[in-house]
Amino acid sequence: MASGYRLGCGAVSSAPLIRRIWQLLPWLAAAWLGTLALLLDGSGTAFAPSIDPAAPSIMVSAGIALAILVFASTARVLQLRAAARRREAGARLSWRLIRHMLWVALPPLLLLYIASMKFVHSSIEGWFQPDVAEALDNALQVAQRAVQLDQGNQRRALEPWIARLDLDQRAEVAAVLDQAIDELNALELTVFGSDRRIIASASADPRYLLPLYPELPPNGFVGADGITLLESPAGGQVSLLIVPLTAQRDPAILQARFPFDTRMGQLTRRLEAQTLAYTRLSFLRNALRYTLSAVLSFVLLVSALGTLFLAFALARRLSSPIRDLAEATEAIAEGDLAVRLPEDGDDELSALARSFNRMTARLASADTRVRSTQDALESERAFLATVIERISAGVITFDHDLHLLVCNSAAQDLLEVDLSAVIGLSTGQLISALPTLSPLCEAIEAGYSSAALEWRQEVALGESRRLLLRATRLPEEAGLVAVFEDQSEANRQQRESAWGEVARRLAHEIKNPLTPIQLAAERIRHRYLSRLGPDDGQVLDRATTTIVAQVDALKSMVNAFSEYARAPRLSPQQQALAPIVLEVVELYRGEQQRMTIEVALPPQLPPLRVDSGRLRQMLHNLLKNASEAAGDSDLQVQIDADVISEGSRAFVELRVADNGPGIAESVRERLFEPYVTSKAKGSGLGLAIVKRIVEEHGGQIRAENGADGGAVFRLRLPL
Amino acid sequence: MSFRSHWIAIVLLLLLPGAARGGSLRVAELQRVAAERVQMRLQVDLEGAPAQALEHGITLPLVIQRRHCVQGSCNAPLPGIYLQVRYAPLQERYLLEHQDQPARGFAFRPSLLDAMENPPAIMVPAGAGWELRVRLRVRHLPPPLRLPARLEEEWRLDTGWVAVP
Repeated sequence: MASGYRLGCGAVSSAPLIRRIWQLLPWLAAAWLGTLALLLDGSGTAFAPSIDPAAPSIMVSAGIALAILVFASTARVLQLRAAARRREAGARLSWRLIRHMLWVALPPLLLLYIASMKFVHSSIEGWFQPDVAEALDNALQVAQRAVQLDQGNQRRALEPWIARLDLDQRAEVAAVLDQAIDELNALELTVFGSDRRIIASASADPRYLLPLYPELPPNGFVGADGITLLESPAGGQVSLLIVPLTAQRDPAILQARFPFDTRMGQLTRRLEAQTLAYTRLSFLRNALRYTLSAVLSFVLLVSALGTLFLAFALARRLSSPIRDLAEATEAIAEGDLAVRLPEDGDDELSALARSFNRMTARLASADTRVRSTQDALESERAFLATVIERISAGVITFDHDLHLLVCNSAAQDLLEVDLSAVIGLSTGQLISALPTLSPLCEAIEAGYSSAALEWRQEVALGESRRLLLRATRLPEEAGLVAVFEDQSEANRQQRESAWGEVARRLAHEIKNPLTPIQLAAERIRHRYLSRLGPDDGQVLDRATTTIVAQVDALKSMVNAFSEYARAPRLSPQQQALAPIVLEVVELYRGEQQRMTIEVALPPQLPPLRVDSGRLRQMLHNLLKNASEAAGDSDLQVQIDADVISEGSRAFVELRVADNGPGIAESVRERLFEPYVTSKAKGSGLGLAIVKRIVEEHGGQIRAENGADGGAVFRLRLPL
Repeated sequence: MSFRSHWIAIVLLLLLPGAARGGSLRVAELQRVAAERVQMRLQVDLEGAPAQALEHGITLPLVIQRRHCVQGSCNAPLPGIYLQVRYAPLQERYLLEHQDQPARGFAFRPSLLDAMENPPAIMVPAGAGWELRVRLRVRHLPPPLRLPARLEEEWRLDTGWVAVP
């Protein structure tokens, strides 16, 4: 199945672990952001468990998670767009689903966001009423006024005592202060000089035994009425009065502390706390709006990204079966019938997948049967082709319009034409292209036009070659098969067979009496030559010598016949051709000075499985034949070889060419038959034996005249 | 603040976090007055949002941190010294509360700043490599203020780490 588009799988074509992390990471980020969106609370008023959005760890983790989600979403969008542009299966459907889902989900989300923002803002504004703020402010001012009235009373109570102070009499000042503190029920009375040093002090509270110089305005100006403050040390509130001692010669101040009324203190404290709380809340509303808006925006962003991510997942889930179906269909179209779809679930898509799988199974089964049948047919065709190719008879087939369909190598050899170039031509076209085949084509046309199912006919190709044609019409007018054999070759084989029989009989009937005849002639000569007179003796000598010589000649002839007739007893071995040729040639170089032999055998010639003795005899006969044919003329023999392929068969062709008189036309057709020779000398069996040896090795021999004269013998020995 | 202006504010705050200027805090002077005591003088500038928050009753929590660094590697800070500033409207005084010391009230902001700029001497172990830092404790601000305090420059009350001589 072609690798199709996968949502969420990414193009990270790397290690499975990284791919798993890449798949899992956005989901973890989305889960974390979702948790934050649910639990974030910036108001600090949540009752449920909440997360502070301003916590650094939360801000950092949310930023990282957002970055991951944005990156993953962007990557998926780009990946999907690219897949859609490449028209990958399911990509465009997924893209359309995602767009639709976003169109459905985002508007309500935006609406909810805007409404929430407005609600938050209006709600926060609603918490604050100007009347409440004013009332609280007024109440605070009332409390401050009450404090001031109380402090005013204390200020007035101090006046008589201030009038009694004379800083030039410091001992008296201390006494006045001691007296005043008791009378006024004060906590502390201290007089500071212009140098901020204590002139005199009285304290009724241990906290103020060591009084500190009071805080004054930055310019140090106290004013005529002095300064009144309210302190809140531990244990209750305290009124602090700082009064300038203007009547003194040196500027000095009186610091007086009075206990504040307890009940009044509680009330003013409570009022201050409530006012402060309201003021604080009023101030925080902008920050609250800011924080809540940020949280809501964050939730919107997370929701939008989550929606996009879920849209991807949902689109993947919805388009996955359709994508699988498209990919499976494409795979089937490309010939892969093993593809199957998952059948999970019980919805319509699962039913479709089941139907698809059944259909594919049936297709696969049918395809298997077809392939099996095709294989069987192919096997039979190959077997038939091999058989046809191997048989020695020529086989050609024609279709119903007599167009040439098939031919074997033997047909091409017998017809001596290259039929592979004319396959598909009709018999009429064959006659035009190869006129030598016109008798054969005409015979086939005539036979096919008749109603006969089978016919046989002898066809003459030229003057010396005759073919025996047997043709059979194929069933259902599918054409015909023509088988033909070389009738000349058949006749030659019959003659060779007859000669073989003659040779065997000669060898058997004549060879045996020859030795007694020779012995008898020598015995007569030996016994009677000495007894006869010179004239008779000379006659006897001549006669017996003639008898012995003729018997020797007969023996040679019988031996030649015996050699020709003997049954082949080959001892073939895998060996190189060159050493055998060179060995025979070397013999002739030593003895025949008028004979020049040139050998040109290629070094890459493959070894042959031959009987080296028989091969030597074959070469010897060819060279002897050439020598005898040349007579007393100078003879040049050229021996070379090459590898030749014909169809599925390969041969080594050994060529022996000479510059002799060549082959006479009268003996050309029967050159390799016994006692067919144009030479004055020789037994007439040499070339017949050569042919027999070649055929013993499964080879072929052909003889022809060379282009520059002389004879050329081509011996083909199979590899 | 209207809804629209609030949006603009959010965008501006996100885009220009460093544009607004408010409070600042930096170490003006730092010296060892004894083997294990360091006197620090700060320059405190309470303007903008922090000052408004203080005026409106928000407590500003601060911490003085100490840590020891050796060749660029710093240990975890020692326990901090905490102080906080707040405003009491009834008394109309600023209160500076220093760790383990009674609160000090200041009727005037310059006095408060003066007190803040001259904190009591700090215990710092003897030896080189010590650093000090004074910063606002954002985590102890009211929750609505924490996010602006994290994001906005005017809330950046932090001296950063300063080496003790």
